[in-house]
This record gives sequence, C-alpha cells and structure tokens, in this order.
Amino acid sequence: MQDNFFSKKSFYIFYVTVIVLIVGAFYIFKTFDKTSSDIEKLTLHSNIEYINNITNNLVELINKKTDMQLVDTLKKSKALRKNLEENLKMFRTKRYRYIYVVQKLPNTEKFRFLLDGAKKDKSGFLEIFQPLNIQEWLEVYKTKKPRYFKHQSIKSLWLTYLKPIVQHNKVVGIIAIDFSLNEYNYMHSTLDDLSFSVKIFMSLLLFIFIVVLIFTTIDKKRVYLLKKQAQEIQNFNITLQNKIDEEVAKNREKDKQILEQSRLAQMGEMIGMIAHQWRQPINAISAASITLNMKAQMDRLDPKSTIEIADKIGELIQHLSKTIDDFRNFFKDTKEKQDTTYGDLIQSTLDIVGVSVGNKNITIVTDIQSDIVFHTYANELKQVLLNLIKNAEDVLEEKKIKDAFIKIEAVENRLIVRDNGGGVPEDIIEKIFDPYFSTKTLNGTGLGLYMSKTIVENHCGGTISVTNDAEGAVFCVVLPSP
Amino acid sequence: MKFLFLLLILFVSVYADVYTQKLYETILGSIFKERPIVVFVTGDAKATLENSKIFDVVTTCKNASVAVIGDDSSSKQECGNIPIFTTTHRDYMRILNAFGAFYWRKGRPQIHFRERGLKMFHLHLSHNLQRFIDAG
Repeated sequence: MQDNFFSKKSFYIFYVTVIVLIVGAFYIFKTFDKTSSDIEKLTLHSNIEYINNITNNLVELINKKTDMQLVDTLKKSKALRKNLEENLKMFRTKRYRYIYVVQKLPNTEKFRFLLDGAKKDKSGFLEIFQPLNIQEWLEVYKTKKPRYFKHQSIKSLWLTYLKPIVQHNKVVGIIAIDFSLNEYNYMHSTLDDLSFSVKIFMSLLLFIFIVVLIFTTIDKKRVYLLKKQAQEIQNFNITLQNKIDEEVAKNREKDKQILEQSRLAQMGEMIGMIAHQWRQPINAISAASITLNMKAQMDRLDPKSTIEIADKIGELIQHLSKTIDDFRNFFKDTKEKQDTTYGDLIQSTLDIVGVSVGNKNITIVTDIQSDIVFHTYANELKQVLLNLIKNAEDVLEEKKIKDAFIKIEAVENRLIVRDNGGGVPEDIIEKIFDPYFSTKTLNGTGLGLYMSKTIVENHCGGTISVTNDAEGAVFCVVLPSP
Repeated sequence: MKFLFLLLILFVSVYADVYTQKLYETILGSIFKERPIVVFVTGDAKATLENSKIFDVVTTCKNASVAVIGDDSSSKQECGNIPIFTTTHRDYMRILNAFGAFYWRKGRPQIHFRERGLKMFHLHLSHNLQRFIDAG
C-alpha cells in the first residue's frame, strides 16, 4: 500500500516547525510593531528636541534684545523687529515652515502677531491671529511650559510646537513653530505598509503551513483508515481461507465417502463377477466329486483314475484361489505409485471382467499400440478402465445391441474405450461426470464416472473426456507422458 | 507609494476648495437671506463661488447684494455702496467699509467681522459668528 506523504517522524517535525513558525510570527509582529513605534517616537522625539533647542536660543535672544520688555520694545523699534525676524528666518526651512511669535489678546481667545519669520504668507505686526486648537495655546500661558500637538491642516499634517516667552515670571508671548510632518507621515505610512506586507506575508505563510498541516492530518487519517481496512481485509481473508480449508476438507471427506460408496458398489459387482468366474470350476469340481463317488460305489475306483480326478480337483481349486487373488489385488487400496503400461492395465482388467462380459455375448477387442511405462496409481486406473467397460457392457446389454463390442485401444499416452451402444445423448453429455448423475434405470449410483474423473484428473494428473462417434460413445483417458 | 502620495495631495486640494466654498456659504449664507445671493467677486474666490449653488456671480457691483473682493484694487471704488467682504488681510485693513474677511494665515482659516461695516449695511451676524467680531 502506498504510504502517506510524510512519515510519522517527519510529520511531528513539521508540526513542531509550524508551531515554532506561529510563535515566531507573533514575536516578529510584536517586535516589528514595537520597533516601528520606537522609530516613530525617536524620530519625533529628536525633532522635538531640535526644535526645543532652537526655541530656547530664540527665547534667550528675544529676552536679551527686548530687555525683558517684549511688546513695548517691539512696538518701539521696527529695526529690532526686523532684526529678530531675520533671526527667525534663519531657522526656516521647508520642514520648519512657519516660525513666529504671537501674544494673546486680553479677555479673548485671539492672538496677535509680534514677529513672523515667513517670506510668503507673512503676517503684519499686531495682526490678529485665530489659531486652531486654542486650548493648547491657552494651556501654554497657564502652565508656562512648552507644548506640541499634531493637527491636520487642509493640505498636510503638521505639528505645532509652542514655546512660552517668559519675562518677569509671566508669559508674554509664544514662539510657534509649525513643523511639517509629511516626512514623518511618509515614514509612518512606509512602516505601516512594511508592517502590513510582513503581516500579510507571514499570515500567508502560516496559512499555507496550516493548510498543508490540515491536509497532512487528513492524509494521515486516510492512510490510517486504509491500513485499518487492509487489516480487516487481511483478517477477512484469513477467515475466508479457514472457511475454504474447512470446505475443502469437507469436500475431501465427501469425496472419500463417495469413493467408499463407489467401492461398495464395485464390491457388489465384484461378487457377481466372482460368482461368474467360480461357477464353471465349481461345477467341474462337483462333477469330479460325483464321478469319484460313483466310481467308488461301483467299486471301479482305481488308484490311477483317483489321482487324475484329485489332480483335476486340485487344479480347479488353484484356479479358484488365483481368481480370488486377482480380485483382491485388483481392489487393493495401494497408496503408492507403480510402474505400469496400458497393456498391463488392460490385461489385468480383462482378467477380472472378461468372462463376465463374454458371457453376455459382447465381444471385447483390444488394440495396444503403446508401450509407455507410466509411474502412476495403477490399481486406481484399473478401476477406471473397469468402470468404463462395465458402463459399456450395461448400455449394450440394456439396449440389446446385436454384434455388440467393446474396443479398447492404447495409442501412445491415450487409452480409448469405445462401444457400439449408440453413444451418450448430447443433452446430458456435459453432465455425465457429475456426482450422482446416472442414466441407468437399475443399479446406477451415479458415482462411477465422477470417481473415474477424480482419479484420472486429481490423482494421476491426466484428463478424461467423452465424445460420440458413428457407433457409440468414445471415452478417452490421457495420462501425462513420463 | 509616490502615486498614493500624489493622489492624497490631489484629494486634499479638491477638499480644500470644497472646504473654502462651504465656509463662504456658511458665512455669507447666514448674513444674506435671499437665494441665490447675487455676488460680485474678484480674485481667487471667483472660481470657488461660481461652483456654489447659493451664489449667483455677476460681473458688476451694480446688481450685486455683496462684493467679495480679493487683490483687485480697481473694483474697490465701484462697489462702495454695497457690503464688501474681503479675501485678504491687506484688503480688510485697507477697505474700512468692509464688513468682514476670510483668508488663510499659516494654514489656518481666519474669519473677521468689523462692527462698523456691519452696522453700515444693517447686517446681522448669527450667534456662532459673533465671536469673530474684532474689538475696537
């Protein structure tokens, strides 16, 4: 069976890797956010510090030049205003766009310009100014401490830094610096983009890992199920094999029983055959006995004729004994293979059945053209041949065929038994080797041909078949050539 | 990124015009009740007011209810008999009859009203605009 994509060890390594990646990803997210925040804070902080230094110097300069009388001195001296505005201009850049000094008007939330370091959008001296985020400005007056705040103007994001000008422990004005946060904003958005990209990438990576993990888990389950099913099939196969073995054993037992039945049937036939074989010698013995008795009563018994009669009786008894031996050997249950030829098989079989068949006016013709020596179960094959001859005899006798004959041929490894009994009807020819199938009206067990097939095919490794020729049935036994 | 930045600038530019237009509509719309307000405009505000539905911009002061003046000294004399609203601090300071002004200073909107100009043309400010009246 095909194994899953990952081995168990690889799967656990992969699993741990995914967990480490998830933890790592969260760590990176947090670290990145913190670093991003730190960068922003540091950038802003350094700018604020720089502005603070500028404004400190400016406050010191203004206090020095106005002699701690800011508004009055500026009102009096246009030259001083111009001089101080030049100083403010020195710090004006693209980033520090507006640097100006304002003073709060009493009892209002309005301011007025005192100094303006701008080139364009320059305000006039004492021009009224209405700042946004007024609370931040007022707070500077209240706390006397610098403040800064971000505000979104129409065109961009600004940071306004407010530094109080304290004279005689009183806030007399504010130095305001409008500081563009565009660069800061750009950096912020870039960091945000970067952070977003990293998060997306890491999320995607994690997603892929998790998907792979899920599929791997599913695959693992699938393989587990496959293995389980395979195990079940294997168990089923074992059970099935046991059942098959059981059934085969039963069949064998059945075959054995059938064989036994067949044997018993053959025994019955054998008794008939023995009776046939014995009838003539027994009659001869009886006649000899009567002759001996009569000669003795007539007092004509001489030693010579007595010996002749006794010898004849002895020969007849020997014949009877040989007949018994032949039958006993024929049906001997030999489990070992023997070397034999078709000629030996035919002769032995005809010794048993020849007289019986001949008595029924059936001619037996033999044509032996084979001298192949087969190493096989000879006695069992004799039973097969006997069975084929007896079947032919029964058919010929039943149909009362004139000039009946049984021809036994042996050609190379083929043993052919044919008769002139008309053959096997075509509609049953396929069934005649089935067990318990018989066409005989009397004394038919239906086991003879079944046992013959079993012996030839299962025991001797050959084949047995039946065909019809013009005169009758043709049975052909083919044994494997040695 | 640059593209997005340019897009943002374009957006805020458009937004700035809309914002300014809204301010004009709020200020002048609360003072002048008729609709449309027939207005004579000079300077940058002309394009802004022309886009508004509540203003009918005319080419002379003769039939105008109000003049919105910005950096055009030639028109100032002709419009002496109608209320003048300026769009620069300089004009607001020079035209003493101007009843108000709106302009940008350091990126912050500046709204001013002058008591004398308001009284001269019997103009009344809504409550939320009165805090923009200059003292003295």
